[in-house]
Amino acid sequence: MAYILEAENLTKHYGRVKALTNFSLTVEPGSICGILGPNGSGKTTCLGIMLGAIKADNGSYEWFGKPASHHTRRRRIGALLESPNFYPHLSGVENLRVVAAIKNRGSKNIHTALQTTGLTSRRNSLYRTYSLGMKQRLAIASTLIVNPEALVLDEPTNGLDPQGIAEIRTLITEIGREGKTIILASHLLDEVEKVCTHVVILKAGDTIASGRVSDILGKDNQVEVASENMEALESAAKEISGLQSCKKEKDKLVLKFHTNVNTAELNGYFFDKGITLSHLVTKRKSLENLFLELTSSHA
Amino acid sequence: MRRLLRIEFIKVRSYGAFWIVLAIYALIFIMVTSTLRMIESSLSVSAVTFFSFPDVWHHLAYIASFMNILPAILIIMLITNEYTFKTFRQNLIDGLSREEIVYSKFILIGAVSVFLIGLIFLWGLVRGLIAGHFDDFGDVYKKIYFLLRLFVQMSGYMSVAALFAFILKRSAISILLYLVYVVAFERILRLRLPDEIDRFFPMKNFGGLIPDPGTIALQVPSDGSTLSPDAAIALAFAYILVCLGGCYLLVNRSDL
Repeated sequence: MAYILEAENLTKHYGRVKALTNFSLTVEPGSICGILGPNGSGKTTCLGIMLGAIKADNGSYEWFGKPASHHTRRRRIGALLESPNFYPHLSGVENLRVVAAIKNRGSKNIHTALQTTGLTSRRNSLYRTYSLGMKQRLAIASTLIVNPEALVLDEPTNGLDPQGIAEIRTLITEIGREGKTIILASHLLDEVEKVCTHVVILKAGDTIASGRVSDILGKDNQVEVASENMEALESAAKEISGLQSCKKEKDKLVLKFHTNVNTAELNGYFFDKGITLSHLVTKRKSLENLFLELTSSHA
Repeated sequence: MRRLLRIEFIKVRSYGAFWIVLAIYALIFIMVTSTLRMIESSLSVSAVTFFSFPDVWHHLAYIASFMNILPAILIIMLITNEYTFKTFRQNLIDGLSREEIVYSKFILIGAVSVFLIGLIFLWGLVRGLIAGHFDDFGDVYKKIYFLLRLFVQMSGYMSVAALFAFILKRSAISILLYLVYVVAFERILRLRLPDEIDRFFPMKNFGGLIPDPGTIALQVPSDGSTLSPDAAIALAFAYILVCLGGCYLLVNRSDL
């Protein structure tokens, strides 16, 4: 089996609104793929199409190497799309029973799913009495009751408090470590950065970047340096080969390089020039910066 | 099919509103059939022989034929709820097919009919045995086919209701338009049409499945304003299938 999911040229327009244009994605087994974009960029549309809820205007997709039109393949996926959708008049555990019955599984995983998501004590309360965070946890519990081969999570930390967010991220990373494939949509850049191995960036339905997180992040390297004598530092820095840009920021100098930079060599270089560094930090470009860069250049 | 029935059962098992509507149905039915004056004013049948076998099945089915709107509204509620709570979408994502989403609601329609008619059967049996107006024990089941016709009729009312719910997706507007259609619109339409045509209309046809016991007792000859019972049953089944097909086309074409 080559790919868990293969989508090609998915397109969906609502009248004049181009929700998604020519979206393609391949997800390898065991990877955690992030779909990143601001609100309204087409994340939910693309997941909705791949989960069968939304009909694409164009394009095709396959789950587990076979055309996914057949609904039974969806039973092997744990999915959470947009907001948690449950029956308000049923308790948490009854809602999970509905999911288990649809997926044609027994209810033996319900207990562990509730435990993993910390809902055991409120399992018999009606869903409508749940807080937003609990609703979100129940949605995640529902994705776990089948021991899924792939997880599709749309904004899984929505509405959770910082502790809940941390717990869910740990959970996702743990599930990923078990070798399960995860597709995660988020508008939170640092969520994708912390959890994902691959990333696709969407803007207004268009794919503007895709690849390994490390590749996309590692395209250029940044180093922050500072010294007593900033003028000497700046003139020395400008002579370094492979320097892309040199920018003054407050009391620091931000150096961008085309290739990976060795901080020990850099330190030695300045030392040979008689400059003692008081500050030397490599700065991995945050996805946030990257994101703003990419989206603004396409504006 | 058992799986779909089980899914629907989990959904309604602890849904208070569902059981309240069924309880109201049972309560109204018991009250009406226990009040002599109401029996005599609505049926041209003596209250003394109302529970006599085998005619009791016809009498009870006829009374029940006025109450089909209640389970029909229940079905509208259950279907539009799924749209409101976006649970159809979730069911689909979890692994139900679009066909199964529609089938499960029609299975639910059958199950509600079976449940209510089971209650009516028990009520008729108990009251009939207490009344004791029968000569031969075989009489008890003789006209039980009226309960089968009631099944078709009740399921027909609910199938039309399901079609309204799948088209309109919202409960208030679906219930309103359904009632307008059942109570007024079809009748107004029928006013302008001759009997030969209007007997094919769904509500009129469903009504013809269980004729007024009084007119049968009086041996009023058929005036051609209704179909023969066999034709009426066949047409009712056809209407149920048309509703099922319509619901399927709607669900299959749209995003959920």
